[in-house]
Amino acid sequence: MTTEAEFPAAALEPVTDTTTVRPPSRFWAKVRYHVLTVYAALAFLYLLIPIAVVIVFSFNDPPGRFNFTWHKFSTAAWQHPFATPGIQDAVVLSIKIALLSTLISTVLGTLIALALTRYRFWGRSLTNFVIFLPMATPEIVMGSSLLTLFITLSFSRGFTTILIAHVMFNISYVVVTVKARMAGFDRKLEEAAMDLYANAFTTFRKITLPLIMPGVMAAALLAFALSIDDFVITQFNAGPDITFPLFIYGAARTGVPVQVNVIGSMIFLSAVLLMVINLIVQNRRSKRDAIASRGAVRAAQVAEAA
Amino acid sequence: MSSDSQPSSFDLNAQLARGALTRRDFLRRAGAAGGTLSAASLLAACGGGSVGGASTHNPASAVGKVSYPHTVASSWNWSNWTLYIDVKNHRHPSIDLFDKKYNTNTHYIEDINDNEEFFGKFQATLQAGQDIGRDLVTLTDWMAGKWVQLGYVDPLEWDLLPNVKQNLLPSYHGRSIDPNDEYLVPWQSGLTGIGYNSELTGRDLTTVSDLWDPKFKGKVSLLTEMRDTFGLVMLNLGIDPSNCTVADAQKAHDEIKKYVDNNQIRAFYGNDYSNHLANGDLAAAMVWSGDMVQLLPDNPHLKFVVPKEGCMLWTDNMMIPKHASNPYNAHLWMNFYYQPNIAAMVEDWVNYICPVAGAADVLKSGDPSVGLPADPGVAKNPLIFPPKATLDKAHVFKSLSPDEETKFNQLFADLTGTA
Amino acid sequence: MGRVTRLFRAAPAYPLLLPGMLWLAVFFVVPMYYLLDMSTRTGNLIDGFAQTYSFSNYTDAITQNQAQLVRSLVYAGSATLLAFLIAYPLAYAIAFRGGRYKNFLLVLVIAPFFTNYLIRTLAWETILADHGIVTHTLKTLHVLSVTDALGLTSGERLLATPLAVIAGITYNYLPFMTLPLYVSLEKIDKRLLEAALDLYANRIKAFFRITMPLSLPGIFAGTLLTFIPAIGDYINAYLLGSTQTTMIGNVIQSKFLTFNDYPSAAALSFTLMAGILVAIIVYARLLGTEELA
Repeated sequence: MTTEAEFPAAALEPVTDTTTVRPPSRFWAKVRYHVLTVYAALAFLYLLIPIAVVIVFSFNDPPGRFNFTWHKFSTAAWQHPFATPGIQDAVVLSIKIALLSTLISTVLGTLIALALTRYRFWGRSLTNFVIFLPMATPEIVMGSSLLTLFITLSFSRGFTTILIAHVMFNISYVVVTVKARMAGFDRKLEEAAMDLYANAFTTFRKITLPLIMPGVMAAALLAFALSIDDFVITQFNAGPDITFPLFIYGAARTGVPVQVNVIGSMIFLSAVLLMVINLIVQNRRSKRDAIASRGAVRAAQVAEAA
Repeated sequence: MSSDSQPSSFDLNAQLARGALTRRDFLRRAGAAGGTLSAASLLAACGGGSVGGASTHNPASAVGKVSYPHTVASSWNWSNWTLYIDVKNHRHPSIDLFDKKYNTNTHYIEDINDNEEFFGKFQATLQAGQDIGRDLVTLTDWMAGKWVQLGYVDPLEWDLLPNVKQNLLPSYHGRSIDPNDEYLVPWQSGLTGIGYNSELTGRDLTTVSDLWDPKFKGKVSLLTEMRDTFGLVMLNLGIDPSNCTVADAQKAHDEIKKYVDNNQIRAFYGNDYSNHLANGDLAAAMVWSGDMVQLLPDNPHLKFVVPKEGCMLWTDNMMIPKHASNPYNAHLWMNFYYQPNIAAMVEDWVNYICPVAGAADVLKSGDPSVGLPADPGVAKNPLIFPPKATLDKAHVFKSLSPDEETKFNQLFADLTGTA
Repeated sequence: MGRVTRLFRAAPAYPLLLPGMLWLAVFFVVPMYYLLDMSTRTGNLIDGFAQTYSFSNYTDAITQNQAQLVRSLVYAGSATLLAFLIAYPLAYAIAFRGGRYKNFLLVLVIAPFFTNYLIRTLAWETILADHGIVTHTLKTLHVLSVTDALGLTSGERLLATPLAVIAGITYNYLPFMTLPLYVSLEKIDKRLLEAALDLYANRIKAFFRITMPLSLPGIFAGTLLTFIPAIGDYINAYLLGSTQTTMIGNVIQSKFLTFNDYPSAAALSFTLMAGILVAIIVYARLLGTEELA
């Protein structure tokens, strides 16, 4: 039977966010505290200034081919973002490949990371070494050597070869990112779950995966960014297919159309929008959970008192 | 391991008999057959493929004897440089007319940004004797010549090209890169000269030496195309680029090096000079004629000049890569383009030099049947339809042997810092 | 008995490894072998490349391109350092002060890098243009004359200088530094910090004694993920640099695509890779994070 002493009222309070540190009261301490915020704000500014330039110039209306000097404001490019021939196919292809390669490489990479951090097996150092190698290899070397392989196997270049190349270089980054997260992973939680008669798969699904999820998401994000932006390796292995970076590279030589700025801005804004939605959804969910758990605890207390 | 195909001595002798091969070529090909292995061939050894470097196809014997199946394919692929064909309402009118006429679908791919890059991308495939997924490519003369030399080009079936026979400007016949006109059909030509921002220079420039003016220190650029840069500097030094030697290249190298070392030259650019000229980073640069026409709306102070000592002339050529799957469509297109009104349509937009006779006349009056309004401005533009005086001063760079090319490239790379 | 149980205990590892490692084996290791084989050949495109086991390709590669090798090291190193100085406080701020907005801020960090590499670098060309605001301001403040003297810029301009190249590399690889740092900082149990503060440590000491060491895996991953691609990068040097700022990546590209000198290019690539691997091993030993690697 639980008593007040064992179940303090504090448990009924909403969980305080232990990740934010309360600002100190003294003046210099306040300054010191805010230095970090200012620095972070400046860093964000630095990150976003080129994007701001891209977005601003997407509203430009250049009279000639080149979009480097500001002429006048116009939304024409935004109204017809896929007007330039070939740009739509390029963007669609890039996104398809990025999504697919992110999925595959995240799964494969997470499995490898799990194996590497949990088990001491024969060939562990070799595996580590092979994982590191792609990251130490210049892209141009990876691209051209992969092309040679495809030619030998008479494998025609196109969607599949681009996908294969992207997954190949993404796996290493996923492994490294997930491992950084798993380094301090507490095995005891898993052992506890198994003591409670959960099998390995359930343990993985309910305990391990949620705990490493932030690392996995970070790895997936990185893989997506790498894939959608890859140029050198794709160039060698794309065959007749043109991804968005390849399209821009071609256009950059003779004048990047404004539509490219538009699409670049769109990609940036959709990523931000997606996250805002995610945030709102998460907020709602955590509020709901908090209310539900409070209700459950109160119900338990009432039942106990009765 | 499959057997490596060897050129039969019969083929080689036949070639020799026609005089199509020099003795050196003969030895090289015979040696290649028996001796060294190319990279791809080693790898292809397990899957079949040709041995040796150059292809064993016998091009000369094909003259007059080439014949492709005359069936129109439902779709075909053409690789070209970016912004190198007419654009209107986000479509290519000339290609649309072609597709309608022949009931086909042209897959127009703008993936050529640099001759060497494109070559690097497909070289291994071509070496292995495989289809590169293109039925037509458009490469600059020296690279086109290299492909011909390496046997990477399918010969033309001239019976399918009556318009080309009729309308190709005479100066394009019998060029050193294709002496018997077997492989290449010109697409556009261009001049390499000097572009400058008159507002920044404060005066008109007339010669390559003006690029070395200390007043423009750090605001001058040269081209990453070795043949254009060396060519203009050679002209400035009184050397004829169509007949130059490695020693001449060394002289050009030494001259340029002076200005690289003292920071006169800001950088070596490809098409990207356009940006820097337009926004004032550069005062003067070696440029390509068509770009300057396009840049004028961005910066009205920009001018193009053919230097006193002469300029370089280059041509981008349409050619059919080896083992292309739809060569017939490629022929149809080339023949279609060589009609004056179609060429005029393209010229109205592209603004480089047109190799098709009669296009200027069509532009003067327009042609409503293809939706082309009259554009006398373009018809009279000396950068698009250059007068004889200009063409007389234009030089084509010498077609280099592989040995020479390596040495020239080495000297040039020393300048660009990539030796 | 020990060996068998160890094998049994380790057995689950292999099926986990199999799919991913198989992919890497076929699509990375095998091509690498072919490349290694190429690096000791001699010849050219037309006559083919014969296997002559000539290791002179390696010695030539190093002696001829010393300048570019050193330059790549310096540029990549500076860029990594700069990226670290920018990214660490940023990652710290998000992890410790982000609260509910952590994920949002993280996306804000990485979203700029969804737009194309080339567009971003071209945007920097616009920003750092000779007649642009940035260059003009720095010129008036006489900052450019200082950097000229240091050899970081020349001609009182920003583009086509080492500074521009380093700045470009720093910018383009910033998320590679930020993400791993964030991941390991976010994982730190904040109660440890609270405990330190309770034990009369001031914030700075708490940082250096608790936070910094615990974020070491992130620092290790971040610096490597930044330095390694940076050293092989050539696009920044190409777009923002000049002939005096070419990096080893430019040389390799030139050898592959211009000269078609595959043996030399392959030898140079392997030299670069070997150097990087040595650096990684030394670095790992220094940080003592061998098992965390």
